[in-house]
Amino acid sequence: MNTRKIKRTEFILIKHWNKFWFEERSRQSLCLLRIFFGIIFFCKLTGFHNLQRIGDMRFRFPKHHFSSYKNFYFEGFSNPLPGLEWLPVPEFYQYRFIEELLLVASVFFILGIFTRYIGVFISVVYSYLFLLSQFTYHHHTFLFIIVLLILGFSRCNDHYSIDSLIYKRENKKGKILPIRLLQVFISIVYTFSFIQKLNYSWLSGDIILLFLSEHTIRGDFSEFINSTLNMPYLEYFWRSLGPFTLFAEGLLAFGLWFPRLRRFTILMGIMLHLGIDLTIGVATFSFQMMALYIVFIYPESKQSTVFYDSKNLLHKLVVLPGKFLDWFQRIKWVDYSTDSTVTENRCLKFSAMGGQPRGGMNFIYGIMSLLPITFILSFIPGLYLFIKNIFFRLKKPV
Amino acid sequence: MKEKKKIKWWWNIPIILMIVILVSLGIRSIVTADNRYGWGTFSKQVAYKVNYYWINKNGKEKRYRPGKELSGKVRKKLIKGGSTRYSDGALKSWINNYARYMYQNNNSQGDIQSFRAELFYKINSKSIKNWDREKDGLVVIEYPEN
Repeated sequence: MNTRKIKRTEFILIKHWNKFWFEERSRQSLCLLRIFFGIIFFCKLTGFHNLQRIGDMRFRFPKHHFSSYKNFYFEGFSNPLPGLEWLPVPEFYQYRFIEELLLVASVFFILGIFTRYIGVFISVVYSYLFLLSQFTYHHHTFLFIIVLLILGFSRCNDHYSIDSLIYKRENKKGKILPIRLLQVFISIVYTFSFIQKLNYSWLSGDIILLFLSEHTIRGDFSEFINSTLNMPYLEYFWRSLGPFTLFAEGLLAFGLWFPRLRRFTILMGIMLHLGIDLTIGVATFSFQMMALYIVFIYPESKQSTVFYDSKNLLHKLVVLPGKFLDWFQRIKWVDYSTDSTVTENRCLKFSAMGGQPRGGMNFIYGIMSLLPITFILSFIPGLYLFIKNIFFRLKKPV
Repeated sequence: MKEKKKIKWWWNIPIILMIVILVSLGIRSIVTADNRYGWGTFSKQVAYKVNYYWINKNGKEKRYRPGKELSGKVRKKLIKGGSTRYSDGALKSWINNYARYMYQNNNSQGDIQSFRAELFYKINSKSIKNWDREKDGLVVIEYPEN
């Protein structure tokens, strides 16, 4: 290869690299993540998590890391991180005060008030508490640190925030860098999680039975699992959760990057994390990971459109719950009554990404696949054909 | 029209930094079998028992039961045993640091040779009730190392 060709290849590579990391895009998905992650951080600080024991879930304002002075391990052996022994350790009451400050800050962060300052404050202070001791390490705390650092130092208040209402910025587009960092981060998490679980115990599912016998799996759901272990074949089913976990984590490591695989991969991720949260004490980890899938949805919101007539009762009955469930702001709702140009055929229609508006089953299926609660239903085998069949029969002249 | 900002080379620093740190932590986690900071929790369940000993200058060993220096969940982790989701590497790291802390904070008179921890663990096994020191074998963690 001559020098000219090498230079051209280098140029193309650099161009792709720059486009990947620094492309100017909307930050709506990042701002949505701020809200969802903020809520989860609030739940963490108030101790409102763990589906293992749903009945015992309570808000405490805040739930302190050290329930009493007796448990405050910084007075004795606290196992500081190597190289960080110099970090000043707060007193017991100071530690509690910091937690209270973080709780107030998390509310500001969710609402998007002084978001840039609050974001930096939360990420720095929470990192400080995390770095004080090796015993503060949990996967969910480490995950909070990384995501809050990225969110804290990015412009995650451009949309859906009180800041954006007060300071109206003209250009709300920015570099896609924070979204890309989070995407790469998710892949790294799942890749290492998958690699480390590649052992006989996970492949054979033995580890699930071990978790059950050792009460690593506990809570309301574990009682049900234990009661079914003696039933024929059900032991194999519970064992299969081992290989399923490997499959899901392996898929999540790369599948989220491919649009064709994305929805299926997200479904696998939700199943995996709900299963984990129902059975194992991982605090808010599962919900953090599920919230992070937001960074893989199209950054610009309202790319799909629903056309409806607000004077029609049936349309209202469909649109109101739809608007309520459209948490990720995927849909733009256009009312015919405000648009005088459309006079005929004012039926419910759905248009995906600026495509041809379509009614009937395409409308139902289109909405279902976009709403975070119903998108799972669109995976039910045969559902598409079933709805199509119903519409075909309804349309058929008698 | 607003002019597009030119991409600066130093904008790549956070990207490289994040990828290098996270991948290094992941590899470290695999190499040291310490699941912390490397996203490998629950890859192995380690059941363990641990006993501590002071070794005097004359070589005599004396069993030690941890006291007030351990509290809260640290006490729960280090005092007797149990199981951990962070694998054997994390366990050894905790005990090693504890041995160093004990030696450094209790040897003001210079009459102690070392602080020793005897750790017995099994990977992906049920919790350990009893173990035979001679028969089952164990890992000895001593500070300072002899």
